[in-house]
Amino acid sequence: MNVMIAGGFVRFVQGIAAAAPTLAVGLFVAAVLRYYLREAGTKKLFGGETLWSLPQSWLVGMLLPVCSVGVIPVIREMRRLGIRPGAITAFALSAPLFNPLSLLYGLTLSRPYVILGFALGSLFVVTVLGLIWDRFTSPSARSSGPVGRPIGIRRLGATMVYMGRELCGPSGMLALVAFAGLWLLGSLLPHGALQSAVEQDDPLAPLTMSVVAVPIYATPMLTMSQLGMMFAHGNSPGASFALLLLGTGANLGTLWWIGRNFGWRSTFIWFMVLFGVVVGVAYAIDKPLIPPGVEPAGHTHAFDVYTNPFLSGAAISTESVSVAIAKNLSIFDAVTVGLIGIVLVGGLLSRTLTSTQCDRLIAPHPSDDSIDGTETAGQPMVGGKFDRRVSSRTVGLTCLVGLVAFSIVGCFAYYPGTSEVFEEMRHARTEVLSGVTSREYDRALHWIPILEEWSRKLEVGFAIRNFELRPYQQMQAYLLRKKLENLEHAIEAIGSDQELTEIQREHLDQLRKQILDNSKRIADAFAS
Amino acid sequence: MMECGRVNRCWRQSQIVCRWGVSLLVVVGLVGCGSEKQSLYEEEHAVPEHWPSGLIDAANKLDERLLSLQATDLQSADASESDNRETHESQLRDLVEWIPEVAADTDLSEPQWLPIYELCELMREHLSKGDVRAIDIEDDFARLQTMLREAEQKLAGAAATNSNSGESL
Repeated sequence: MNVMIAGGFVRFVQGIAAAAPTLAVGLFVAAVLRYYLREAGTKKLFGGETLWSLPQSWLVGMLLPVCSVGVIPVIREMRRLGIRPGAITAFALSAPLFNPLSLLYGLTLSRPYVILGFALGSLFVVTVLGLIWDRFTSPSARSSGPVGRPIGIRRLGATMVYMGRELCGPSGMLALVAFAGLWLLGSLLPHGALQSAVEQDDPLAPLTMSVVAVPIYATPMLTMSQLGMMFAHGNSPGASFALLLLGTGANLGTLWWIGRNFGWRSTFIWFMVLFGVVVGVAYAIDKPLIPPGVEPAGHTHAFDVYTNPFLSGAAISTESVSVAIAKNLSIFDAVTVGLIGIVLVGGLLSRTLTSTQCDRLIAPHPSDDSIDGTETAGQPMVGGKFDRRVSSRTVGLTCLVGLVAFSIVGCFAYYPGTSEVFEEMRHARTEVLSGVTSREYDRALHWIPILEEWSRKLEVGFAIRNFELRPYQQMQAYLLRKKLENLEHAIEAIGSDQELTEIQREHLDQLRKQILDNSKRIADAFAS
Repeated sequence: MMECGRVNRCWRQSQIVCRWGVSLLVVVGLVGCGSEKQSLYEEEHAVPEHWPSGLIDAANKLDERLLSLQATDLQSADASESDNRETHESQLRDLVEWIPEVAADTDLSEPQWLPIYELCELMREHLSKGDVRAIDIEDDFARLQTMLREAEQKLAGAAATNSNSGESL
């Protein structure tokens, strides 16, 4: 198999796996807008025709756990419900940038003001763009026939059918267009080609990253970890900002959708303004946001995930492709891909074998809610005093607030308590160090990023439970990651025959000792 | 007629899309022409020459640069002297930024480390703002050097105690 095709394919599949959870959330949010909040509620949620609509859309986007693929069904529904185009693009660009999980993660990466500065910078960009976009486009929705207003069990059924059909229809297709960007980059960029493209002292770094970021699809968490690596390596902060806005905020799928809905010419102008503003802001913050005390490493591995996973001379087989795909897949990814697969099959059935029944389920019906349900809210129904009729808007808002609450609970699950993290870190550290001692370097290389990840979770987990994170704790966690990074490079420098020179052996021994010493200090720092 | 207009519109739209696509391909292709890399270990993570090897070394390095700055004539218009002054100023800024990390990488406890960190942060803020020169905050540098030497003594004392208790066991 050709290396370019195989490399692109691996990145394409990895993109699908990464997007699965947030795509499911996006489909759910779109269904809530359609069947629960409906037109009036959705307009109110996104600020209606007021001046607040842009910052409000930005804020709603920040709270919902979606990525740039997950926003596709939501913006389609927003358009159908007649939301202002500026608000749609503000939501589309800002929703994928941050969510509660990634924002917390981001606060451990550098000095917190950098991440907050990025968040405010994104607000500035979406506001400027939204104002321009609202002037040049019309909010008129495309007619797509009447939508039923089912209530009760029928509404749940309609929600499921809608999610399946969207995935197996326009939203699914647009998602594939987004993933095609990853295929393109994976095919065209040779292995490790971006490692030294975004150096702090490279005046072209923000521009290079802005260009490369356009076809990139990245989840908020991936971008946060990439920003962390960039800051740790002293790369260009302006390039990080460009990656965040253009790589995480937009993808080829959303651009395609905007072009189809608002005209290619307007979209081209809009995109050029977006590109210009992002590049301008990136250059403006490039020097002021350089983190103090970080020596530029001259490279970063943060963008290896967008380049070809295979070396140009590598022998490609089905096995090597599946190994490369499985390398970055966690159990969580596998489960969510399975769930999305079920929704997809459901959608396929609803469009083919059971299309008549499903059409009947979602079509307007005489028993449907009359207007918006509000006038009948509070009226008791048959079945007792707790079985009350509740307005669609109340149910819809409860769903959205529940989703945000769920993602906050998710933060505590994703960032466990100190003792649990220590246990995981002990396990990962043992694997790393024993891998080095027994010369099983692949094992050590596999566990190094896992240990790094746990060190970040330790910081966030402690911070959200104790409402503080002391400089000493941050410094010890940073030192662990720095030593792991040095160990990773020391291992990579070992030749394929795995024979060590005297200097290499001494260096590895020194790093092992440093990591062990650091583990005691981390335990003391976080135990108190 | 309408059909013809629609075809023209479609044609124009596909032209714009193609132009976008081709530009993107060219740019990505140009970036992609960068060479393939497995590891950059040889050229990366180079430790700067003035990176301190320990607390005493940090104190000595501060001393050397401060003495050199004091010896330099601030009014001198000599280019090489001015370059020297700039280099020492910038190296002192670096040292102030690095010292908390160097100190945290020793067996100093958190309460012993914190005053060093706080003083360095304060100095770093002033130096990075550029509202003071290194020579203007000599007293702070002297205090920092004293802290570093005292911290090293504490570490040496703790190490001696540990080795004594190890021997007695």
